[in-house]
Amino acid sequence: MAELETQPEPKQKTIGAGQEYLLVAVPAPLGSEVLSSTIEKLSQAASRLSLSCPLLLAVPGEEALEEPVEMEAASHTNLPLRYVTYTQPATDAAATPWLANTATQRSIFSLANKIGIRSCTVLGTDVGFNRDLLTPEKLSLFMGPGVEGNFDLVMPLYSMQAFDDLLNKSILYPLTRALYGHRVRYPLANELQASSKLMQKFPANFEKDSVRQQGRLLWLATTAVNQNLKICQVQLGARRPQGHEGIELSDALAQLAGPLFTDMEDNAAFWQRVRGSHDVPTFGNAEVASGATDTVDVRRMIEAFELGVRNLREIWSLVLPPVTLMEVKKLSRLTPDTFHMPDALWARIIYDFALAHRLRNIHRAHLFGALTPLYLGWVASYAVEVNAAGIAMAEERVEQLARAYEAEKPYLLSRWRWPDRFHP
Amino acid sequence: MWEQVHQALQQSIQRVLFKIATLLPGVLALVLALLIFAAIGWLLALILRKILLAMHFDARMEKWGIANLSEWSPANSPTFLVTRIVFWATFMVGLFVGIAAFDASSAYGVSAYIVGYLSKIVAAIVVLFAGIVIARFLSRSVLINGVNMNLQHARLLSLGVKWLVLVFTSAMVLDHLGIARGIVDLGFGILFGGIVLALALAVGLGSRDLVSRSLERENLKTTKEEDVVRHF
Repeated sequence: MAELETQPEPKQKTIGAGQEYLLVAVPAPLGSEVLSSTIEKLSQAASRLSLSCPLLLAVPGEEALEEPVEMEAASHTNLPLRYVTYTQPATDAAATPWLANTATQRSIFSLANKIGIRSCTVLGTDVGFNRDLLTPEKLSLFMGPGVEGNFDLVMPLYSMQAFDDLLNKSILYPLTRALYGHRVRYPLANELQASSKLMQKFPANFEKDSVRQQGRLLWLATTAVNQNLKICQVQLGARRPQGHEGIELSDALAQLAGPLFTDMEDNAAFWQRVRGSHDVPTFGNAEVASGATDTVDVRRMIEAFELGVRNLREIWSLVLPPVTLMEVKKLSRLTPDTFHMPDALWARIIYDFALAHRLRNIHRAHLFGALTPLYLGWVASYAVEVNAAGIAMAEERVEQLARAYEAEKPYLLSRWRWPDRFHP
Repeated sequence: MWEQVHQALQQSIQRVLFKIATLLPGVLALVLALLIFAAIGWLLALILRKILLAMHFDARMEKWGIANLSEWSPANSPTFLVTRIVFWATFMVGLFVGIAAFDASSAYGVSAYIVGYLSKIVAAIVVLFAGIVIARFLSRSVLINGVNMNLQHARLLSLGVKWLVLVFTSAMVLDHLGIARGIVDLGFGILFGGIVLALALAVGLGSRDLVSRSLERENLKTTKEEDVVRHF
């Protein structure tokens, strides 16, 4: 991704009434050092972009302040700045970080919808805020496509190490790509830019959402594709995931894959019509992830997988068809050096679990617990291959997996439409 | 002598026929009551089903976050669950009415006892059903969590939990029905207390070193691996 793949469209000259601000949401509260340094960088970024409308900063506050107020903290810069405040919903960010992120993003969108803005740039939430990413160059690069190119959704593209963000590599990215046909590498990002057109798709009174709605995550790229809106990605450089302490792997699977499976149920009519996938325009230069990646000792993961094969066959048989169960059992006989889970098998397993989530074959609390040993089997297989081929092959390996998801999509369609035909 | 025997036999046959003749209207009333109430139940369920479908009851339940109801319900439909409950409740009322009618015609006065005991049986069935469902849920939870915690004896633990709940449920059911209450209480106390004591001794004395070494090893492995692999 060394060069610009697609040029942004010509800058929009006229801005409609009620869309006069470019909202930039920063997770740092008023008066903090982080905020003043962010303003400094924002000022430099704004000078690089020939902005035709003023910036409006959204910062967290105890109460939502919808009327823009002059910002004294920005007086040392040449940037005329006003601010509004958004409330951070009371969610347990330590136990459910992705839900907390979503709640904050929705709070920002709700505020933006009320004010009436042209686009909204979210520079992370409390959980995902990373100051190092915010160089003026990257800020202007990130804001550019939305401001100048009329893109409705700008998603970040990070350079991750080979063994980072494996849940995204193994499930979230390939599944959303196969379902909706867009290749957005980080479908759940903390940084993003959304147009007013996209934000209007989210109800303003989300506080009154049903319990089902409140437990959901924002799959912005999915919504944008469904609405036929324009998406692009911007290279934001190397990044390591935060590694949320104290969250069990099965809980993380439930919190991330669960809402995606729920989303699948709601958008079934749409994704069943999608075939293949296509790249989305990408801006910026890719960076090499810093820090040497060690080889991973896979023995413990394979032990966990084998323990699952020995003990969970009865539960898996409620979800997986006999053929898949046979293949899984065969894997448990392989040695750690030769351990290999075929991509097609992993894709079918995920599709089967998505279907079980829809049909409620087993209690949902058990579903993701039962998926965990299989996931560790996939991680072990991936690690064995990357250890052998070198970390440079990691990206190619993810691409290969994504293609397998697409190739196996007819299997999902058959099972989704006629679940009883395949039911074990 | 033969005449006396003949007479005695005739009298007993007459008594049996008389009893049957006395019982027949009661049986007929019981069957009739069951049929009528089954028809009423079916009609009520049909009407209720139409009303609930018109109200989009299933969607509303899901919207209100009562997802568990769908999981308990056959065919994953709360509407189906509610209509079934209405039908069987009506049918049970029919059964009680039939028994009362049967009792009135037979003049034996057993209905109060039967109805009283029937209610106990129904409650015992509910307890048994709940116990089986809870046992299955807990055993699966223990098995899955045990496997994810890398416990080699996860299946054994899961079986232990399952049978513990089932034994507990059986004791509750038998106690509720009043069957061998003393033996059940005593037996259950000994069994349950024995299991808990055995587990406490096994972990506290016999496996103390093993458990601590296992936990230490687990901790070391986890820390080392998490430095390299980040799942999320």
